Amino acid sequence: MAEVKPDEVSAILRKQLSGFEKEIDVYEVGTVVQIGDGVARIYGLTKCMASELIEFPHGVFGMALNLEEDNVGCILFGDYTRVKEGDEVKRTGRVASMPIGEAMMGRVINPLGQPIDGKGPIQTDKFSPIERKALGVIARQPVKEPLQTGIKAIDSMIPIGRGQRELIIGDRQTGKTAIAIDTIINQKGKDVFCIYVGIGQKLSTIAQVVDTLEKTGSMEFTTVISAAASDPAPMQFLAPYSGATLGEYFRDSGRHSLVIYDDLSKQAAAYREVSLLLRRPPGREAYPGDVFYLHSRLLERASKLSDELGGGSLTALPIIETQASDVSAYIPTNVISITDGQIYLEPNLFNAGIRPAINVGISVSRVGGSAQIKAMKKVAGRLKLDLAQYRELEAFTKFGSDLDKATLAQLTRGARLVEILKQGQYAAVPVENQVAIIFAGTNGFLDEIPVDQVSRYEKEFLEVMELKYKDVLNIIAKTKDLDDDTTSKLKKILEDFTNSFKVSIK
Amino acid sequence: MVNRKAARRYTTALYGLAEELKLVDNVKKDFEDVKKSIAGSRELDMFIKSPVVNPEKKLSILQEIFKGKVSDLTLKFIMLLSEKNRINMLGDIANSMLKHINDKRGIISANITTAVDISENVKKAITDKLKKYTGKEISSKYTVDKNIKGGFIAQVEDKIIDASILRQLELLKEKFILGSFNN
Repeated sequence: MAEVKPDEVSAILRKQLSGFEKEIDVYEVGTVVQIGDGVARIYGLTKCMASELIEFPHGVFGMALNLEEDNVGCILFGDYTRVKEGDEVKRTGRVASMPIGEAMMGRVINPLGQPIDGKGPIQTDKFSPIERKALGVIARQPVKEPLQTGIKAIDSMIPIGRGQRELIIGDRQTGKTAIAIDTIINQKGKDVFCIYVGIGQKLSTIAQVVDTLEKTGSMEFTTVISAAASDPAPMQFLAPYSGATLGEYFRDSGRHSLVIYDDLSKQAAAYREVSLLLRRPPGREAYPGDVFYLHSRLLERASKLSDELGGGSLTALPIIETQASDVSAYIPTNVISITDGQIYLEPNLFNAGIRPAINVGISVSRVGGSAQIKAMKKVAGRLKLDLAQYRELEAFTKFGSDLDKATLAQLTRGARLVEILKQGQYAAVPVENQVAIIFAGTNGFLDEIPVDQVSRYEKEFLEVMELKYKDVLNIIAKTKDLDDDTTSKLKKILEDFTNSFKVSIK
Repeated sequence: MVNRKAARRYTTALYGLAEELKLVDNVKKDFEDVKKSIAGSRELDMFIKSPVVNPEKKLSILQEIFKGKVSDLTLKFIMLLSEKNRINMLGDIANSMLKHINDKRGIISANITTAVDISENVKKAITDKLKKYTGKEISSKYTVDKNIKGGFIAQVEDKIIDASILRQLELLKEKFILGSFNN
């Protein structure tokens, strides 16, 4: 720190004081009549507005949720144990808002935008309300650019577009977060700003996510918003909206952002908690009546802006945890119906070693092909068909040699395609490499390779491509298409490689 | 919460009847007395609020206390409350009644706090200003609180008009805190 000169200090003080006008402060007050469990009832505050920020003593803030005949029900952020009955509270006339800006990148913050990573204050002067209305029809345009996840099974068959809302759903321990983290890691160098919102998670899990992102160099374009299991329910309820607000800042300035809500079932549970404490009537599974609106207004904020507005986008990847694969529970059905498709993860696939454990049969993306590059569209059409036929015939695999030739061929093909779609964690594959290996699979180059050799084949083939035929990959990456010339080149390379690979097996 | 709601119901009912019988002024005076006597005697307050005392006994005691001191209508009302086992709300009802009558007459009450005793002239000036500000008659109550150091604080219903030195100092403090963040 530089030396502090006393005369400078007094000059600053004098400046501040001279600018300070003696003004009369007019505000409205109420009295706390009841407090507990993170919610308070306040008598007075007759002109209070819905979701207005309310100032309590000791710097605690609250948000008005219930406006009743002679009292206001509100949720509290921060240390509510310091607020007592009979305390005087003030209206602020503002709605809850948070700081936004580029300075948020690389930081871990709480849902109110305050840093919790011990890296000092965040230098930003822009604020934005946490609850914002989603944009209307005029401001939007159809989703058209792909958001590459780097996961073969997703990019080929369940493509996600920029501005889409794709649900990741599955039981505990099926790799939901892993998909989300892989997607963030794959955005490196693609000018997509990522926001990971952890709701009701263990703090150790959040620390692990931050650590992974830091190690892979992805933290510099990522913000982690943490409302951990130890945070009060109002914070957990608010966290996804903060994430959306931060994402909207990048979207509205013509850039691309990706928000991951991990996970919304816990947010719904937190909302249920505050709703019941505010004595709102419980409905199905004790959730309040507006739990659908809770998620729909959040996910509607994901959008692709029209070109006049800069063409920015906000992609949302909500995560829902199911209990015993029951997707017909209340919250999963709600969120499935809101989103533009879902990635369904299954524990038995996971245990069978098919990882990522995506059930491609029931996973869909309603935006579909328009969020894929042409080259991928060309190879993936065949892949989907082959896999669908494979699933139909899968039950017959036990009969082995009693099958006719065509069926057997289908089964061989299917088994190899399933093998291709397996992928390790933190091992994103660039889209041109994905195209190349899927091309090999759907064109039958793998049919004569034993299933247990497929992963080695893939690894070595992609190595050869990178080292010797980088030009072909570059063409695919550049033109985003697979023209006849490239197709024949690729076929030639594959023929040569497959032959030499077969030799290496024996 | 429930009490306040119920108190309001009783208030509107009694006010309606008093208006019909043109006894509003009497009722107002009665409730001012009731309020004063409850505030003045802790024993009476405890007695009214106690759930242990037998309702019949309560009724006869209350009759004895208030008979002849309040108008017939108020006495009947107190007996009704006691019969319905709502007599514990008497204090709330008295407050709500006085406020209701003031509301109907376009009068609102204001609490004005100053650091020192002020002259009648100043009091009148403040009341006039408040009258202009709210557009209603003001019935004001004055208190002296040395802690605010200077200026005045006027509370009209939920609104606080804070022109005290204490608040000015608080605002200055906030400003300095914010200033250090910007520089």
